[in-house]
Amino acid sequence: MDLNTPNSKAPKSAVDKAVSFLQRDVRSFLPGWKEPACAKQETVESGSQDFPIPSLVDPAIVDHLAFRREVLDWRDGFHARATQLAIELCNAFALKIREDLADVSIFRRVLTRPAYDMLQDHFIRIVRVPMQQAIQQEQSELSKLVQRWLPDATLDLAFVAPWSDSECKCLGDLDFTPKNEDEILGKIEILILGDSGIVDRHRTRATNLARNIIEERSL
Amino acid sequence: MSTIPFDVPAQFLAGLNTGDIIRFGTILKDAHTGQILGHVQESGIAQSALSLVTSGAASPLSLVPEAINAGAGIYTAVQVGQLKAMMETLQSLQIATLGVSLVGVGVSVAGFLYMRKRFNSLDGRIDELIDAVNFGFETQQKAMLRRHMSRTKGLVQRAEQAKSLSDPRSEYAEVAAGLADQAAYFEGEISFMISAKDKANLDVFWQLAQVLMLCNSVRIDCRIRTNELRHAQNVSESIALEYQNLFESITPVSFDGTSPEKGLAMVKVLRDATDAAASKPYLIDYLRTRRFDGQDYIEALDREKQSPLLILREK
Repeated sequence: MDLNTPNSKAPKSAVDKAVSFLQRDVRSFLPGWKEPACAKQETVESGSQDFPIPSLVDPAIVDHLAFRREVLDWRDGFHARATQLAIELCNAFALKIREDLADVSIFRRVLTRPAYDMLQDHFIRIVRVPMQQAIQQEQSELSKLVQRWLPDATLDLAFVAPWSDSECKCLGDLDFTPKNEDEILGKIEILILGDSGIVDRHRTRATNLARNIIEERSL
Repeated sequence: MSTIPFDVPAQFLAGLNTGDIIRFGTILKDAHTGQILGHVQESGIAQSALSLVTSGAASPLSLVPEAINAGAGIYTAVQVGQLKAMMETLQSLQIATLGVSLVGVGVSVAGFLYMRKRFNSLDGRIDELIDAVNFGFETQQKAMLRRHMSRTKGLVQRAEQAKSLSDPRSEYAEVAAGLADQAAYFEGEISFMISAKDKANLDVFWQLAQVLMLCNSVRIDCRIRTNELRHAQNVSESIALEYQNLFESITPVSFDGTSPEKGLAMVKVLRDATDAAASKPYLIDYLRTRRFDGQDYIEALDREKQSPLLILREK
């Protein structure tokens, strides 16, 4: 490496000297004139070795920033993973609905049953359980993070299940028949992925938790 | 001139692997004592190597693979070798996306010529994006954006040409002040985009964020060149706070029609950029308190011809 070779400072030419002379503050020709302190500040800092220049940064803040980053990484990862999982579960549930609708007998097409009755148990198995397991795993990761950075903190890290025992009630009085397929799928998508839907409420909880945790650790 | 204590990153990688050294942003710390050991800084050949890839036009997700895979075509074996070495080191330091974005690793962007080239690719990409789809940009708003892009381009060009002046300090100061105005505009646009009711378009957001980062990187670089280290430190502190406020609320699902994976890649770049910005005041403080001259520091980086990344050693 050639990192510290000093630059050869070429001697100033006559023209340079003349330019320098013409650029001088006219007051500097007066007897007793002193360069203003503000103009000298950097020169003094750069040139004089007589006194130490005080540092203006606090290394302890780096720790706080690292903590903050770790919490935000958890929050961001939660948002991405929970959303991705919700998309996959929504697709899997939609597939099950399509399959079951395709199998509806002619008799059941006439004497229909409510979609809620037909789908709630499948919803619990296909969506609710895997989602709860994933959220518990995320909560566990968050607990470890908080334990490491804030061992004395007593924060409530729980994710309250954003659903009732009967999520599919959102389908109202829709009947489980093929002609209602689009409407059923649309309502299920809103239930899982929509604004204020299941995953959105989990994300909001994660955002609030991250904010509370960051605020808990003062500098 | 004081000798600037640069090391090559390899000397620190073992400590990072064992956990004896930890990294935050571009700061390397002793894991046990908490003391700052050094600062990662790109050298003059870093931007030269990175200009091989048109990273300004890429999405955050493709940045690193694009840089790693560069090699075919017109580039010399030396250039490709430098780029690959740089990417390997950045990956070891876990700041690969930071290296290839326009945040700048360290406090100098080390080469305005290459910065301008990368800005030009950004400029073209923004035009393409806004022309291709209606992102809610009104004609007047688009004209305003075009004006600010042109102004920024001109300022980066002035920074590049300033060194040929007999005394470039006032020119650097003017460029820095001009870029502060441009940065404020781009920050406002990004802030508006984030707070809008509709989700942001990731590609447009990414290009604007890159322009903002470029403006701020060049601003700080100019202040260091004029040896206004205290001022540079103040500026870098405000930029760090600005990024924190601007980007913290963004999550992987803040973007329209984007997969969570792609959104997460974008957010990681923003977090790395925020951390890198928060690291800069520490590096500048070190230069200032050790009485290193800003111009000497830049010149030492420019002279480096072997290693795209260096560590400014504190201890």
